[in-house]
Amino acid sequence: MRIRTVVNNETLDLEISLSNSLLELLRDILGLTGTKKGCDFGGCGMCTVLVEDKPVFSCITPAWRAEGKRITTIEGVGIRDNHHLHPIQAEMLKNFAFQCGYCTPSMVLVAKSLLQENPSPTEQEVKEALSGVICRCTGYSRYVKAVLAAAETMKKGLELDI
Amino acid sequence: MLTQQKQTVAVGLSIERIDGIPKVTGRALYTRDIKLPHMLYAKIKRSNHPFARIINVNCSKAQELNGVKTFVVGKDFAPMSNEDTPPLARDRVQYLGQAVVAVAADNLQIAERAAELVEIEYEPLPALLEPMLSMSAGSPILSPGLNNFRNVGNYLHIIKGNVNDGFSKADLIIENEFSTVAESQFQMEPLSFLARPDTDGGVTLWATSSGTSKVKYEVSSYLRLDPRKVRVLITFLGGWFGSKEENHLSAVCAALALKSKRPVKLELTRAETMTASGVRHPSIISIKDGISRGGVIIARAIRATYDGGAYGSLGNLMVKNAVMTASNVYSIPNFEVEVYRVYTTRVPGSAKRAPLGFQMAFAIESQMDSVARRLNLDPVDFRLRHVLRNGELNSMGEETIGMSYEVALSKVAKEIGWKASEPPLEYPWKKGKGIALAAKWGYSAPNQASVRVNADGSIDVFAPIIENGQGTYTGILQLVAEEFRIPVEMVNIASLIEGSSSEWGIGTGARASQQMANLGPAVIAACKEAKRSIAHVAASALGVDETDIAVEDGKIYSLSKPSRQMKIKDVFIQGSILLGSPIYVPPHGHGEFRGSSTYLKKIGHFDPKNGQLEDGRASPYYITVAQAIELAVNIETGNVKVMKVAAAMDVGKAINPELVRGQIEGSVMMGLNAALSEELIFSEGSIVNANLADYKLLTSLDTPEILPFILETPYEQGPWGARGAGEASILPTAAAVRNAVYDATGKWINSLPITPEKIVES
Repeated sequence: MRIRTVVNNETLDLEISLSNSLLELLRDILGLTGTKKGCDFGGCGMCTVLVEDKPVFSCITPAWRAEGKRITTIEGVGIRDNHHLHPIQAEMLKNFAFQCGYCTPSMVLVAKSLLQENPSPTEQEVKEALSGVICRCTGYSRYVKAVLAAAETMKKGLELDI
Repeated sequence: MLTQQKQTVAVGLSIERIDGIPKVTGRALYTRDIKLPHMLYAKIKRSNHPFARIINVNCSKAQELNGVKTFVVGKDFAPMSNEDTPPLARDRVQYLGQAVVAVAADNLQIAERAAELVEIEYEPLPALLEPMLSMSAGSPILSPGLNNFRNVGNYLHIIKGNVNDGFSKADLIIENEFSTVAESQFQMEPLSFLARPDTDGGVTLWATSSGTSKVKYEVSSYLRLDPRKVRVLITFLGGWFGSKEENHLSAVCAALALKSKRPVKLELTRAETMTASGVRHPSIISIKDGISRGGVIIARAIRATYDGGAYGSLGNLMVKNAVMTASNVYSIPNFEVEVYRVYTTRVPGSAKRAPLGFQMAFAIESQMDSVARRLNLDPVDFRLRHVLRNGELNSMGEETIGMSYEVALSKVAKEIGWKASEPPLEYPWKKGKGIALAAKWGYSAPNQASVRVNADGSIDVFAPIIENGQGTYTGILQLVAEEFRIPVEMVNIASLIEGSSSEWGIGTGARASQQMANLGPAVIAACKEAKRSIAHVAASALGVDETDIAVEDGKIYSLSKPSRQMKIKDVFIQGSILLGSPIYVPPHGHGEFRGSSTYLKKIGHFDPKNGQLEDGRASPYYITVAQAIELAVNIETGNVKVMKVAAAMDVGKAINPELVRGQIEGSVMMGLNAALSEELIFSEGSIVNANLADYKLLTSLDTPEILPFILETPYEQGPWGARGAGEASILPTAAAVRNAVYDATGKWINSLPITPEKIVES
């Protein structure tokens, strides 16, 4: 089947099959490998992307659900050169939030969605937002710290230059 | 290496990770992300019996499927000893989920369908699912094993003094049995492999593996290929924790590629990654202590049995880890430890963060509290009474060097408010505090590195570093920047872009937290040699002896006459003009300004009679770790909420303190998971909870406050005094939780995980 969707601000007409997941659409059809595959059952959160700015597990979302929707993947976050990052990315870097990096794209997107909806989250609200993404390397606290710091930066309307 | 006259430019500073931008932008390349043109997809047909003879394998139905290209079976590989898991089973399967046939097809759906259609006829054999059964007379032999012990893959026995004498003189005997379970490493990136057949008849492999050399040499023996024809690239790993030690799957992927003459991708599912590759060894550990009237342990006997599963999978070598964990920390005049690793027909036990030592530390540190409480002594004071002092011999006859037991224990006790009296929590919550102490062994294995100096003063580093998340690219980069005293931006870690290559030299990789302690010195030595190659050319230009030359901060200068100096560029000459850009080359007749080095530290052997060390040391160094945990237990439901963890680790020198703190925090978190939740549940040899709904992991909502403390008692041979930092901090966590649960409830839980059911029912 054919669908029209907007991925990272680019309108695309795509041929997909009914059985394709959104994860397959992104990784296999579009080659956007920043979205990771971890379990295939919506259990680990590695495949999180934003549909209309809300996080979804792309491995259990059918690709046809992207019809007419705006999809944001990690490739669509921040300015794509090495000197400007989204404040969430910059703070994650600065706070040593991640280690292996496999869950990082999902963490960035979940945080982005949270801060868009709630620019001044409490620590508990950040923890709740991140709780759908498993990180096996860290104790999560640096991710939480980074998101709270990014919220502060974004409220000041600044873009961090790193 | 420890002279520190000048302020450092990189070492000891928390510089940002060099893999940070690729990772936050999603551009870091993992094995799963790589595709090749004309690539096939592989699927493995696995055994549904824990133990069975293979009567017949029939691929004819699967063969008829459109798009199916190739099959490989056990006979396509060289037979190996039981030490190694066979890539595919040959005559019999020895665990449920063992790989039997692999198929490659045009796409994954066809490959999956083909694997379903492969027919395997089995003659089931009586499964040996428990070590005791497997060791008992009359059991079928799973492995030739050791002569005197049926189905025992490895056995070590350490004897110091005479425990029976000690027990007879003791006023009190306290004996306990502790048990631990199988756990998944649960790294977030499932195992993935990609093989490309090359024009020389060889193969290039991208593998989620812990080290380049291991894959190269193991795959070449499995496939009977010249090692020169097996090239291995390891990109970023999406976590490791021991999960990527086994290379039989690399061999399967390579065999399919060679046979089909097409690139082949083999991606394991989450469930396969959890059930079909090595798990943490389940264990049963009994400890018997004889205690004097004065409250001192005068005799201790430990007997540990680890369920090794069907194959060696490196596990037999790791028996030494259990022994080293047991023989350190405490000074006990009469001491014995016996460790068995037993073959059973279960998924092999393999490496998971601090393998075999984790189980032993849980048992010993639980026992220490049980004894202290029984004697009405404070657990911290009781431990301090027994800790080994530097200079004393441990139970293996090895000198205690550079340990900081008292400092570490006192530090975490203070931070948690050990003796503070605090108001009780509201019913039904009860607060408890627990403490534990341990020593993590080091590891000795060869590592090679080389560096090249460029005309602009930048340095290229070719070292088979594995970046599994620990920050090793960054740490190694800091060593190089420091050696040349240049900004970190001037160092290029070649691995960053394409991963590490087996063709850069021998690399042991991310095993046993060895990279900083073993690869680090090789990198520093390579830098020194590169500087000598520059000094050799610069000597005549500066009119001084080459031994009088220093290379630092982009300059070459005479140590005795510092005014005689030149730029690094000045030892190069202009080669040619390419479209207007000059290139610079070493002078005619000279090679690159390059250095390379090998590092391999010699270690000693155990006397087979009593396990005492005959020569030298069992481990190059040990790492002191102590933790104190504060938690609350809901005495109605048994739920445990961990509130605070104070964790001290003596890394010798933190090359990058924030990265070291990250290792402490991650280890504690993994230790809490193991303490409270993680268990692969077996039913008739089958793992029944290989998914995240039934195999629970802590999330951001369950995170306690973790306070990491770095101690820096130098390890003299380490780079800048550094030890490995990756695993040690998992050792004390489970026992500290168990001891805190007792403090809160008065209940001793001697088996992991400490679930709400156990707390309520006990």
